[in-house]
Amino acid sequence: MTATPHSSVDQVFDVLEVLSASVDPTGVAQLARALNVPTSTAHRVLATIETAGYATRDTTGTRYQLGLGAQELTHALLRRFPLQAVCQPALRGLAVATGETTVLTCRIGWYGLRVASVEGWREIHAAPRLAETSRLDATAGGQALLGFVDDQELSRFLKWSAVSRPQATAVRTEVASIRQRGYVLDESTHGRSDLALPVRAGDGRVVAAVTVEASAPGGGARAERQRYSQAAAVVKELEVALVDPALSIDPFGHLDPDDLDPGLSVTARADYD
Amino acid sequence: LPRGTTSVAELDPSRAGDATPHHRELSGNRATARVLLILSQFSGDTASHGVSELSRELGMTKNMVHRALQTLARHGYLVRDASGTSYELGPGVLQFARVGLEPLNLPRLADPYMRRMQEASKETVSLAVRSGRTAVTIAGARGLGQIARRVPFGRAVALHASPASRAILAFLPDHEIDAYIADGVLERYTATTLTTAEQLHKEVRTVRERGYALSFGDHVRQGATGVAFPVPAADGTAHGSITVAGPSDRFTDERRAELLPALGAIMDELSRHSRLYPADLAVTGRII
Repeated sequence: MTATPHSSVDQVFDVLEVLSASVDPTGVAQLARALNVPTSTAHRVLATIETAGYATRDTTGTRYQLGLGAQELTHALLRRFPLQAVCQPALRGLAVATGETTVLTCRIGWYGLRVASVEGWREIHAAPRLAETSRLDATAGGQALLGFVDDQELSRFLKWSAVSRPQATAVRTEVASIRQRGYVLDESTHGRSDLALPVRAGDGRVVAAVTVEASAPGGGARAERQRYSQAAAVVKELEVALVDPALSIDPFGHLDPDDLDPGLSVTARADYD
Repeated sequence: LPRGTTSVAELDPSRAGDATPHHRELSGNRATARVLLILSQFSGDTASHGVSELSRELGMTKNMVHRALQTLARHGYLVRDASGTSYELGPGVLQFARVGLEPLNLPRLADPYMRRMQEASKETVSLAVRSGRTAVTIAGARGLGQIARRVPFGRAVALHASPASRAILAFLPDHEIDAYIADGVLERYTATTLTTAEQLHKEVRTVRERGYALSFGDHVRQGATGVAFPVPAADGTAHGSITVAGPSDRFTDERRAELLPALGAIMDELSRHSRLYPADLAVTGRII
């Protein structure tokens, strides 16, 4: 990394990337090693970031983690989705009824974004992670969105995701069966059974997905049917509100989905003079 | 918390010209601080920001703002808006949530603000959360004087008695307050405890209007004066309440009134953060 001249400003983004990727607070020496810069440089950059509110020190005072400034930006991005505020009572009602964590997923390019989530009340339940992004084919919520895009859009997704021919065929088969069933049931994550239903705008487009992340599979077909009808009732409630077209506006709809990278790999590099 | 403490003066470009390594480093710091300050403008409720407006508001040249915006856009933190003339938050900020945004840890979020309230008042500060029909004290710090109020760790007090409880009760939805009153007896602790629906509804209105609950000896009689503020959640209900209280001969009504603006300002700061989080079903216990 030292081979490329790297300005102070770009170093900030490198540091933020490292802090974002780590669950545990990161020490200065550890950070300096990861970025291949002198410890003094890491100190200096961290001080600037801390002053701006994007990093805080943990209780030991020597290790850094993302600060509230970073969280506030993430929440501000979620607020750009009009459905985020509107869906809270519905998600809450579904979490109360099922005891499980509920999620609203919207599209951001070729990714599914968890724009809202209400934590289930069962002793053992799925974590209500907010703002996480995954490729559309990777989660139940994403699949419930991908399942209802038109054929041209699906081809674009497959081209973008650069999957192999057999994988592409598998995705197409899966999409066809989701269309036929009308929902997604994903039990591929150990200990979880995710049920996702598409949410349609007034014009019929699927604009979001509601997921119930059940922690206790094995409740049997009857429990599954019950969860389905509870989720379907909540989707219906949301679709009544979605008659208002302002609520289904995609804040990134004016951009090419191929260009929307949710920071999973920041590669941009240039000098800042 | 040390947020946004970078002043515009520190970012003065006229001080960034010197070319010694030390000065180059300082100017790099300033450029960095500028970029982060501009990024922070996008965490408010206004989605789009343009060059002229930011340059006016932050007192930076248009050229500086323009370059900072371009840098942020290059890293994906900002994108052009639909009109193409302004910028909006981009998907790049989602890397901050790569491991998922943590659910609220109320004691940890409130701690720095509670310390500041203790410093400002010199009195005992405590944090209570709802548990079913009660409010339970889960954290706090004793006041600084020889004589101070005890932090009643683990004490559960009915939602209609004590400022800590009433500050939580008042921000429940109306139907939940009605259910609280209908489902049980409003137990009397002292002569001033509110024990009728009418008295309680009136107090709820007062607390909602004022934004805080005051003590009037309705739970503990012995010489304590206090004020309790709700810690608001995204839906307007309270995650919990923070109480500042002390001995009545020192923490007099006058002293309390004098401190209210300072304490309220600290609570406003905390509220800006706590409102980002939805109320927790399991903690508030409203499903039980």
